[in-house]
Amino acid sequence: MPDKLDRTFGILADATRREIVMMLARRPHRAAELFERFRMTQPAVSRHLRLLRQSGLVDVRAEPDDQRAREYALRPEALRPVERWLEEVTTFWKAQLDSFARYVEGRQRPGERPRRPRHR
Amino acid sequence: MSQVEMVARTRVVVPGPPSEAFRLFTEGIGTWWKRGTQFWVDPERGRAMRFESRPGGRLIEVYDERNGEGLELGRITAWEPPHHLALTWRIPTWPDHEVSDIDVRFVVVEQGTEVTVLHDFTRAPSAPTRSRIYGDGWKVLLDLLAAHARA
Repeated sequence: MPDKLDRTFGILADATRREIVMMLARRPHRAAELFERFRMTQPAVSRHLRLLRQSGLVDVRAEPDDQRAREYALRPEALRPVERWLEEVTTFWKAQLDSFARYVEGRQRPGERPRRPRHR
Repeated sequence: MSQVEMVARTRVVVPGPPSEAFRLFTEGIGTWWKRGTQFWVDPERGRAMRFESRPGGRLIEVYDERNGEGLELGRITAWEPPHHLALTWRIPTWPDHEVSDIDVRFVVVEQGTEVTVLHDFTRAPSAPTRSRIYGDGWKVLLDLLAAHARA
């Protein structure tokens, strides 16, 4: 029987579960929307959602009798790694644009005073 | 509850008009693209980046300097000098149907041209787990999961 830590890393090894996490990162989704999105049976999607809930990444925000109307949301602490990853992407492009700016300035005509690039 | 827009944005101002900035951005990418290993899919084989400067043209991580061929990283979806360049971007470890979208705008400002890069991962949900090129952000999520499992 795999121990709990092994199962936890397995949570994100699955492409469907990663995509569910990304979808929920944008906004909460009802179960019906998730069932429609993936080409698999409802029990298969439900199993992914159950694993995500057990992992502590996903909460159920609304739980009416109709399972299809159940609303899933990403827990706030799970958003921060995604935000941090996007910050790394931003850092990547900041470095590239800085290099581009130096390249452009280096090609200015001699005698023309180069301008400092401004980052935002 | 807050949500995350899967978009990274950054901008810089360079001297000169947009037409010059657009030209140098595309024709000069072989020179200005950074050399550190984190900026290449295959840093050992990569020689230069190269745009095929036309709609539908490729962005290539060049491995063979004789013919300019290598790994296709992107396809130009908008070639609109001097103000707009857009391309798809993907790396080989992503699932086949996943691409990200890069949008580059060149706008006149007092000091020259403001160049804005917008990188949108809405169509590439696997990117955070498959992108060594951007660092270890996803590892933080794994650590979070591990902490939860141990609790």
